[in-house]
Amino acid sequence: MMCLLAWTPLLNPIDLHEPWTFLLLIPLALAIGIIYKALKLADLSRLPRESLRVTFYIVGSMILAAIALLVLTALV
Amino acid sequence: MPHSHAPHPTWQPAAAILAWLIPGAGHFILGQRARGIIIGITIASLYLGGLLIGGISSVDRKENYLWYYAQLFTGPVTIGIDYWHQSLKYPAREVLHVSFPQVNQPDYDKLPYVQSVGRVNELGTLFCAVAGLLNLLVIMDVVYFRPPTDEQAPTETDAAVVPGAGRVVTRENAI
Repeated sequence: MMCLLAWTPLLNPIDLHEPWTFLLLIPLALAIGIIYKALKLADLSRLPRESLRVTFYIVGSMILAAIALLVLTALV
Repeated sequence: MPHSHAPHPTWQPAAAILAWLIPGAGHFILGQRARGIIIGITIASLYLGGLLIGGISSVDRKENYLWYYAQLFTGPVTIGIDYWHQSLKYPAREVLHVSFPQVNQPDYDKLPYVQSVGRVNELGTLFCAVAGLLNLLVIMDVVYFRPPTDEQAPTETDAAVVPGAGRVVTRENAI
């Protein structure tokens, strides 16, 4: 609570620590999915579903890459 | 020879400049209003998110100049934010002699803002840079503009390049 009270937007960075920073991948991937599909789709009514699909692919690929690297570093 | 029903792309430099000035405005003036609004809101949200995560120190042309070039594609707002950041970071730049960089170093304990460091600074910088690179995609789409259509027939070149005989490759199912 004290951190929120002392926080001035733009002048102070948010007080975010290591495990939670990975969650910021989701809005980043969602924005990429929305822009990519907004440029591709003729019918924008399909945009939410298609954007979520791209987001799922990006986040899923990152998780798989992380697991592969974890296994690799555990074995080597 | 297949006949393409797709509209011909048109050269739109003014719309591209407008797309750089205000993300999404290029599509908006070309009649793609909903698309322009979606693009504008998404890029602005991503950029603002980056600034809220890392603060204004996420935009720094002196310390993160390569990232700054990517952020510049978001428009003149990046120049303004960097100017604000630099004016807070070097408040006495005009009175100090610029040829002595050791004298001109900011005193981080006395700055009127908190310099973000580590992962938070990286994420803020990344969000703003990705917003800029996404706007570069938007600018590239606008500058040689062809409205996306569902009934876009493949050209001879598409048929030669895309594997899968008989599959109609449209702009949206290409990937």
